[in-house]
Amino acid sequence: MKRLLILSLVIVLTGCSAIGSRSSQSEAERAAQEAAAQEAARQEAARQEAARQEAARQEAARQEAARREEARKQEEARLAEERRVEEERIAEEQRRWEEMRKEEEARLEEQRRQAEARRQEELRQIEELRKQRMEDDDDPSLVGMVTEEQLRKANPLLLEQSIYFDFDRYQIKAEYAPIIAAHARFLIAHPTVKIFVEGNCDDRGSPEYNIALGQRRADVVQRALLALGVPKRQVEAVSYGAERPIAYGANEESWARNRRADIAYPMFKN
Amino acid sequence: MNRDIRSLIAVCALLLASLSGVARGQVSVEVVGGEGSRIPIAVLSFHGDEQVKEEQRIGQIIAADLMRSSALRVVEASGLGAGVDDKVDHEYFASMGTAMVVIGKVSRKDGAFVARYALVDVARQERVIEETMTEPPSSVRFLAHRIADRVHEQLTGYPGAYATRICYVSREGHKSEILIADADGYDRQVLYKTDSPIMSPQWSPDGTQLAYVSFERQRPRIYVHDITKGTRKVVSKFRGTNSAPAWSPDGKKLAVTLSKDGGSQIYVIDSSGGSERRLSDSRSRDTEPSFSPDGRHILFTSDRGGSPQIYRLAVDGSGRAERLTFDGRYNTSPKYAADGEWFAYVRMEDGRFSIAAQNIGDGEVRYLTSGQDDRSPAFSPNGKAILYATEVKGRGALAAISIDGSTRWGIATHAHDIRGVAWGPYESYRVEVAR
Repeated sequence: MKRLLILSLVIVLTGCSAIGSRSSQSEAERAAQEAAAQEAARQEAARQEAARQEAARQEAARQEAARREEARKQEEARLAEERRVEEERIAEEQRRWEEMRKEEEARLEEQRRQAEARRQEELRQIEELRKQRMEDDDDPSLVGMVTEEQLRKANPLLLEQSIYFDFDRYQIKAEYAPIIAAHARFLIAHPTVKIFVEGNCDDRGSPEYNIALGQRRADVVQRALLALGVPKRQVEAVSYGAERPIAYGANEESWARNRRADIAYPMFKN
Repeated sequence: MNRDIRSLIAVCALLLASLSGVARGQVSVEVVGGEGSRIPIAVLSFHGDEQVKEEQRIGQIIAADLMRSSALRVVEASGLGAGVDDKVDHEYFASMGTAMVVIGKVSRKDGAFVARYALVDVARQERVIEETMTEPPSSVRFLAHRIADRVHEQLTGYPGAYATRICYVSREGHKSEILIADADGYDRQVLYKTDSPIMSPQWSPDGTQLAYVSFERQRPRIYVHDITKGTRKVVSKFRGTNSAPAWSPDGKKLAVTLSKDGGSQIYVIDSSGGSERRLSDSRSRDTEPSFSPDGRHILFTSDRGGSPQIYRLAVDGSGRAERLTFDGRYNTSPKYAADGEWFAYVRMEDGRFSIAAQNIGDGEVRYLTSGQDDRSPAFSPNGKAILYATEVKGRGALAAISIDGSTRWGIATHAHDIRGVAWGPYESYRVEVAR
């Protein structure tokens, strides 16, 4: 049945066309022209479509290129920034090093300057001592000066510089023998150092006679040093009597502290 | 400033007065004897005194001076005044118990002070002195002191040493000051100030210089300080200690104690410095030389006999040292009096130091003071009084006592600790202290 239907349709259609072709020659031409036109239009559309597609493709490619360029530029800028930061860091580091170097240099320079100033000051003090020796009609080569540190290093006993006496007594007590020996050894080892032995006494009675009593104490200590081999030029015994007390009380304790002889080295002053 | 000092002086004088009884201005006087032989004298207010400040009133200054004489007794007459030309009522003054009266008048002429005064003998109704004295305006006290000296000389045969100056060293901690003041303690002036000890000031015979020991260097040295110029010079700086200077009477030499040859020995040097000669030669401690007024002897302290005693030695080197003191185990600091007969010294007994005097000729000894710590005696230029350092309530003070022990007075000083005193010669008053 179905097959019958399709057959009839084809007959109809064929018949129709046969009718048309049969109807006229011009009609066919027109149709051909039309078809050609249609074909041209179709081709034109296809061409246009192709052109459009091409343009779109090109646009996409251009955009892609621009995007790549942009990315490249950004990367470049990032790298440049990184470089700049790195360079800055290096420069900063160099500056710091330079600063430290300069600080160190300045510190060394300051040390050198201070050492030089100290040396100059010591020379000045030595020169002052030399002048004083000359003014005292003394040997100007006796300009050795010491520091407490130097004495301590040489022998801690050298820091013991006071020898105390009993009332109305002028003998050196046995306990002071090692101290006096230490001073004698130091003086023998340092022949340009000259010391003063300063005698003192308590403040009872005549101030002038007390000078003589203080002298007696200084003389005793001087004699002990000379006996141990210290050259005479290195020791001078003087007396301050009761004029330079270290204790002011009117009692036995104060008097005892003032009955003494002090060994005085020429010390560098700070 | 000056006013403060004055008021403090007044306070000190009051303190001293409360200790000793009688006071007059700067000086407090204590009379302990000799009343019977003293000449009674009244000093009336001078006409013109009422117009000036108290410390410039001539009558009062003269009375205060004469109170320090061991030969006079000042009769209280402070309320009385008279002009120099007024007639003295002899009966009235005789009834007051005075034998002599000083009257006067002070006026100003061309800025200067002019005093006309008279010393009237009450019994004989006679003007023993009648004269005029003139002084520049700064020296009104000097004018009064000169009148007192004249009156004293007229009555006793020797001037009173009122118009003179004294010198002393005041110490506080490490600071020393050399001060020069009038003999009554007024017009104190600082001659020299230092941060190191100074001791043993001694006045040159012409009054213009002081010798002293200074410890400004490690080695004690002797300086001569020109008072008028304010300059000073080292005159003794030998190795060791240089101490205890004493002027020769002609001012050309100084006897000094040196340790340069070991120990303490006495030498004579030029007072301008240099050229020394050894005087004492002992193995003992010899010091504290004092020249005799004729320059031929020195007295000094030596422990050659085992304890400090006073010896005498001829300066020309002839003869041996002669021991003069035998009483006690401590006799030091001899000072010749102007007459060369007496010497003052410090003696110690039971731990107390006091002033004594001894006659060289007959050996008579006078114990003059009874202090705990009296020292550094110095004679007045007339040889009749001894100035010395003492202690009052733990502070240094100055006092003086007549050689007969009858009259003692304190002198306000403001000193903390006194390290040596000197009494200048008569010439010392005219010397202008350099500023």
